[in-house]
Amino acid sequence: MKLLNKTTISLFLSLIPVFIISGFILFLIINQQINENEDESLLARKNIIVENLRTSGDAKASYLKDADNDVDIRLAAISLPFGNTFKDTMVYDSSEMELAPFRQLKSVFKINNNTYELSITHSNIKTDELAESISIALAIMFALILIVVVSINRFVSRKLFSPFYFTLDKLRNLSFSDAEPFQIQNTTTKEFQDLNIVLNSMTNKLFTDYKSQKQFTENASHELQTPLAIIKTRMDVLMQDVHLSEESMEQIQEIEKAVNKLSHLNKSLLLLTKIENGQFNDHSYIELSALTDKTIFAFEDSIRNKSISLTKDFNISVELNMNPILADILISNLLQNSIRHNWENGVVKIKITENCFSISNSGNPLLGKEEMLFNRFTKFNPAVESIGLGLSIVKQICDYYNFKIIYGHTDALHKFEIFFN
Amino acid sequence: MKILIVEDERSLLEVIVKYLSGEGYICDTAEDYHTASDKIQHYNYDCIIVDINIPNGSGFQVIEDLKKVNLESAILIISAQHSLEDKIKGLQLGSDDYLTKPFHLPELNARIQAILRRKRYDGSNILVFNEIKIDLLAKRAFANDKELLLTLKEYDLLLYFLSNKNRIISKSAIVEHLWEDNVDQADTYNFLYTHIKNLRRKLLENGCADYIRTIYRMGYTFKTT
Repeated sequence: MKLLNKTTISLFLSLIPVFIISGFILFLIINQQINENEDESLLARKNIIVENLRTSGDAKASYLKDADNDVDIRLAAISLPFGNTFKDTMVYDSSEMELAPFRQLKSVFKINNNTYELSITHSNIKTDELAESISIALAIMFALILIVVVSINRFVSRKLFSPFYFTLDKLRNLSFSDAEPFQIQNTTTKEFQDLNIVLNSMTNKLFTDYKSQKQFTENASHELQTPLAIIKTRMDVLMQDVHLSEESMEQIQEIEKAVNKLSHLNKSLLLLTKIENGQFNDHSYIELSALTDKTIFAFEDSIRNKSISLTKDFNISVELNMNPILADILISNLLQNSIRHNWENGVVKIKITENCFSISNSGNPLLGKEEMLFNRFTKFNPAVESIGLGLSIVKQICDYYNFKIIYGHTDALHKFEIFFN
Repeated sequence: MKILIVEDERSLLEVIVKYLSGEGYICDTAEDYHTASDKIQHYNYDCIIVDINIPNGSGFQVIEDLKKVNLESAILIISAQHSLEDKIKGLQLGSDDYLTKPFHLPELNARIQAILRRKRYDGSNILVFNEIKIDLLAKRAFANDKELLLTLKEYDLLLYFLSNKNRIISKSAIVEHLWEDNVDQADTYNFLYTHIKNLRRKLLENGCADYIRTIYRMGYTFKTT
């Protein structure tokens, strides 16, 4: 739920009791005011009646009789105390045909040695009607406030929150491979300023860390090349020694193998880092079919060795704007993968269409999770001699060129498809 | 044949000198830009081997300086950077080849011979060794004037052996030469065995001496003596 909706809702939830309580207080005040007024007018009436009674001496003639019999005057027992008492009572209202609230004044007084008991009633404004009116008025106010607050919120928030959404958008699209550092829109809101300051310093740190990390990998790989070159060349010279025993020769051979593996690994890591660093900027148009044919030719020994039958399904010319080295590596890694994990007498099918390169091969089902396929140093089959970087290099190259690579397993064939934009 | 080697890593420099001297070259060395530039001004070299990253300057500067005084020298770049840009830049400056570190010495030797041949023969590229004759342009090999019908790999292999005669060449050096990084290691040793067997058979069938010898567990040698 949006922050704005949340604040609006909590605002209204807290406003509801406020309105109810204030409505109740309003009701009490108004009710009391009305009663006071009533009482004053009842007293005034009583005074007129008392005056009339004193001059005429006739109780019946002292007031105007009306339909509701609202005045009742009689001789009272002596024991009653003198004075005025007010009370609320329910009386049958003939006009409304129901019991209605009435205000009643009971007064006991003495005129010409006679003690009279006077009762005057007057129809009261119904309290429930009053409460109802107040509620309606408050409800209308509430609705009006709601509409105004919501629309102001919408309007203002779009302006107020725009730096926030801008920042959010920037963060969402944050990519470490971008050369440009994180830039945030200026804002006058204190909270967003703070947020931006924190985010800025955080991303700057991340960027520098990332850069130095990359730099480190690259430097380390580079620095390794020279000692590797020394080992390799020294081995070449060492081998020329005619006095070597068979035992030593065997040792040398094993060292050679390890050094080769190391230098291959180092080259691959260097390659990955260089792709990540975007250091392959020189692009030219690569004819995909020709490149594929060339790569197949380079692998002819391996293909023949496993008696793999290779089917080519491409007769259109597809040109990709790529770095030649990367294009070469992309196709040869995929082909190598399809041969390496294939059976004897297996099949490899290569298909090129206008926007897709697909290569499928027979072979044992994946021994690991499909999501792990493109991870570095993933080797599902330890028996196969590889360092586990081939496919992650493929993925990296695809990412670099915004190609989409999909792995699938259909008709007992492993299939990699690369879609160009 | 005089060669100048410009390389700042002394251990590597030494071993290159040792190997190339054994091949009959007269080797001179320089470990930084100033020395290299100085030597180029004063002496004539048939070939210079130059590293890109050297103290006080770069290998590219050395090539530029060389081109001002001597257009004849063959130039081979050795670099830790496997970079197309550097390769292209080197070629534009007039270098003849580019070798990425780490490399095998027989590979370096083969490359030097190839560029020297190109410089010397100026197009008419025929390489003769005893009864073997190789037409480098047509990529065809002959034994006693009869064509050896070699596959591309066998042809490469023969040429590589001829460049490194009487040297023990490790299997991995040959594999790297023939397949570069393309094929996985385990299989390629078997492929190599097959290719060598076939080349040897073809040479023998066409009346050549049995030059190719297997060195137990390590590699092969092209024995001429």
